[in-house]
Amino acid sequence: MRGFIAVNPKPFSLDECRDDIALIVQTFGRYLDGYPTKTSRSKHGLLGPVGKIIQGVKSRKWQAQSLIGYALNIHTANRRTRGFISPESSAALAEGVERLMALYDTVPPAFRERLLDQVDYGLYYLQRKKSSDWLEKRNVSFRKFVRERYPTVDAALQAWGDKPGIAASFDELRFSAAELAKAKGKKREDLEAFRQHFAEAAGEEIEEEQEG
Amino acid sequence: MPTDVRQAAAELMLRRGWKHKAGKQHGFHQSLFEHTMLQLDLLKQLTPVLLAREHFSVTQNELRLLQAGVVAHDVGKETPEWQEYIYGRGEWVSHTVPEYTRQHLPEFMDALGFTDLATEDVLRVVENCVNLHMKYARNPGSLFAAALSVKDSTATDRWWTLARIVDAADNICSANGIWDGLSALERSVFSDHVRAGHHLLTIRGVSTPLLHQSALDAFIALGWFPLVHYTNGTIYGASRASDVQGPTRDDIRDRLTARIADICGKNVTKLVVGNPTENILPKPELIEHAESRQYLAQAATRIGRRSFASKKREDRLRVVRAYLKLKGIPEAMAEERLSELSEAISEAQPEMVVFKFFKGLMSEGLVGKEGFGLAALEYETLFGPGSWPALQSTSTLMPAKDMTLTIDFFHSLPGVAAMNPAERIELLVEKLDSIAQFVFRAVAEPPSRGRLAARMSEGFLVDLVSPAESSDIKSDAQRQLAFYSASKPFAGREVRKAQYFCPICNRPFLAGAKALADFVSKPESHTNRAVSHGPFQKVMVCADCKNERVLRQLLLGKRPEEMILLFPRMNISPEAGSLLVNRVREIYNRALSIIEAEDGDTTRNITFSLTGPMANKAAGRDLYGLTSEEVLDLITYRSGEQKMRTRRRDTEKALRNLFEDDIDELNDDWMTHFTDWDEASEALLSNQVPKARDVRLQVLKRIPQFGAVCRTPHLIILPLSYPISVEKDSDTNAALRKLFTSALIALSLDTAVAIVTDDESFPAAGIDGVVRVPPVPAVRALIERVRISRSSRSERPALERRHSEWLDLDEAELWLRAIGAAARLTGATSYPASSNLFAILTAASPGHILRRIETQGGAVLAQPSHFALIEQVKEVLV
Repeated sequence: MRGFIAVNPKPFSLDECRDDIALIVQTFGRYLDGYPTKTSRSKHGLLGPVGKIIQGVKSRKWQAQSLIGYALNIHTANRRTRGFISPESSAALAEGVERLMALYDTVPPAFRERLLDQVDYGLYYLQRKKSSDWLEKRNVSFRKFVRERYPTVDAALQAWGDKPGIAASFDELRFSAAELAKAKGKKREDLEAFRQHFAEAAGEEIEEEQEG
Repeated sequence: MPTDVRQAAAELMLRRGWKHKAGKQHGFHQSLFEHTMLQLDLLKQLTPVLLAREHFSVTQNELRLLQAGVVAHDVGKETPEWQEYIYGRGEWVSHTVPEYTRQHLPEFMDALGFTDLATEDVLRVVENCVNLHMKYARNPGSLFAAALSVKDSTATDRWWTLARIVDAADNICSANGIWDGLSALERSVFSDHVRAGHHLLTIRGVSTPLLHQSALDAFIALGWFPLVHYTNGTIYGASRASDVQGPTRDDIRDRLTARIADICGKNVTKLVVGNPTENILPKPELIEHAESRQYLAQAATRIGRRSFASKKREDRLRVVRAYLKLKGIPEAMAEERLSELSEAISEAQPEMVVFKFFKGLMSEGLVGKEGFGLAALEYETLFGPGSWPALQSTSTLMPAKDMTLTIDFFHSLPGVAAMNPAERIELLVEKLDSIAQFVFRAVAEPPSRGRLAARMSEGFLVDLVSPAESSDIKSDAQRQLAFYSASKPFAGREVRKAQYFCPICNRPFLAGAKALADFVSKPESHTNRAVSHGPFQKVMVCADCKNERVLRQLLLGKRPEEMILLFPRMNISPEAGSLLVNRVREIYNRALSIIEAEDGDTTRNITFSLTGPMANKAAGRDLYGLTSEEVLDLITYRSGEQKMRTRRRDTEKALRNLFEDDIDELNDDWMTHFTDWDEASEALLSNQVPKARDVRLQVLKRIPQFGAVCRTPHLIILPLSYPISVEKDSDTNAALRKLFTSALIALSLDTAVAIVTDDESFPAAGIDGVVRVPPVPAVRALIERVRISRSSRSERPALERRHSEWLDLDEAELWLRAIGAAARLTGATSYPASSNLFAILTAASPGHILRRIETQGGAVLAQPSHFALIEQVKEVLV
């Protein structure tokens, strides 16, 4: 009789890949920092080509290089990129794809779905947090800007023709592109001035940031 | 030691964040603050011995050096490297680092007000106390260097004695339990000067704090001073020059009897009168014969006069038919007749309960055969022949039968039928009470609570391990084994000549009590303590365990659902213990005043269950520095306007019900002149009717729902009459709430906290942390996963073996933050209410929580505040 076949399966936990997943998320995050999102209101819009990359990895039909090419094509098809991708973004994209595919192959099949889920939602959280932090930073800057121009929040509201009491203190003031679009008179003047001021200070261009 | 040194030391340690830092971790858990403060207090307790000429003859300046040495002795533990090591996340590092000591000691001297002593040579003496307090740091080289460093010192020539005193204080306070503590004291420099004594007991429940207090008082009365309190006892000291003796068990028992008698004298009427549909006399041992009238009157309130009339027609019809059948009256049931009889039965229901209680009160078990016979005679003299057997044939409340066998006899007395219901009740209570009093006067031993206190204290004294009575351990073990072997067939049966083994305290007994649902949940359910075949009525428990449960009900006025237990984190000094006890009492008394809305503010109330509001208040606060008022504020919430409108409506409704829609009756009762119900309700809500205090508390449901057994710091118990959960909570969600509440209390009061149900045993042994995790597998598994994922790889195998029953200090902070943040996210995430906390804390990633918020919020993006909360939850997402 044949002897027993002894097996000693090692339990696997995605926790073991925590650092690798975090690195992949950070790498794709670096890439997306240079990608002009069409909208940050949807997860699809926020993740841009990375969403397609995750689907591609899951399908297991792609080689790393071809998947990178596919993603670059999506990137340049976005009109806001004007057909351009920076070398840093390009390198981050390639690095992210390669790391993800390599990790995907080392993970047991039962955990692959969850791995992609972690990358997908990890990246979503990262990008939304960056966006939220940026908006908060802009609001803080806006409050400081208004405080320098008006002695009290009521004075600011009066100058802008807003209802008194809609903001009890400077801390309740918020800047938004939508507010700027519909502002008139002194208010428009102030908001526009702030937009310029903030763009210059941050060295970037204010576009259509969405807020909750 | 002047209080200002203690205060200055506390402020210094708070500034250095020592409440956040672990001082002791393995075996027991203490913050660096607690560990150091314990030693400072020990020094204070020992000061008379230190100063005495026949002992150490320490000078005032040397005493100050000792205080500085004790406060600074573990300064090296505050370093991040040592903290990483103690939490198992880093390699071993020593906490006696001479350079570090030298660098920080001047700040200590300054903070303690010892600036005049902060000269170079004095500092060297204190440095030696700090650097040499660990055994591994004492070697010929280090001792020689220490001696050289103080060779020209003018501060003291006894640097080595002082260093040994600091070392001894550290060893005594670091001992893991009473035996280790006694051993450390015996081995120390104090052994020739301080006589050691101790009391030790096993933890049972609410009787335990009473026993602790009795033992503590007995020792102090004889001249001992407490040194260190543990959960299960205290180490005492006395000068070896004195001639003090330890107290006897009898002395402790007498003190315990007095304490129990004091508790037994309060709030018993409602407990004596039980439920007419179950057991009308669940606790006969609480009866005091002189109070029979109160009990009978209380029995009349156990059922409403309208309860039967408001039942469905079919139910009433069934009862009325049964009644007519028992009376032998033909059953021609017109609608009018049905209403008339329904009304009569309904009105008579309170009287039925009075009869039922009277029957119990006059049972042979309480008044003996002789009393029983006398009662029969008197009863039949009043109600006529055959009325006593009729009364005896009644059981639990059965309206048709009770109407025939008791009420009809009563109503046939001259003039009774014409009386209104209130007058009838009054007359019935008076008549039955006069029979009862006649019987009690005639019998030799009428029921009395006085004997109960003595019986209880005699029983609870078995928990006192030391001072011990001489006993033969071997024969005790043999008896235990014999009873255990024989007990299975008797576990669910009350029979003579049985040998029982208590399923609660595991003690053998011969005569105990049948467990009733009144004090043990599901007493008839299967237990492995019984054989699997044959009859099983209710599990038998020992008299002491029954008495323990009776005592719990006496303290709260009803059976507690859960109990919040506060233990010292391994040990506590008498000084810190006294502060803790006073603090808890102060919080409790203020909480009572809020619950009873004494200031007329009915919008405020106390909660241990509303995790969200508690977390909102705790957010951003340093829990370690809160005053009693601030701690109370954490558990106080305010009802919204809509809730208040509902409350006003309910109040009016309740008043209308109570006074049967008659505002004049209300005015007569309250001696007021209200013209309408709205006015009366408003006055009641704002506490303007002093005479209506009880009605107010009842209508507003402001009956205190938690009590406090706060006698000594060994064990403080807050029994709750409700479980810590919200309406739809699953067991898992409720367990997370309990964990949050426990952590909040543990961190703000510097104690270890456990929340147990009335049926659970107290976690007496192995308090291995500062917060006990409720015994819900899903929650314990979550705690374990997070613990393992936060540890270093080398620590994991050890952690996998460690039970996840207790959280240590940094874990308590972590889970307080995480559960609090989850509670504040429940609205935005809209997970099902039954499991919302658990769903958030076990989300696959922070992104999943964010996605949930943004898909539930009607395309509204998450706010910065949401990200801040998710970041806190993220710490436990694995």
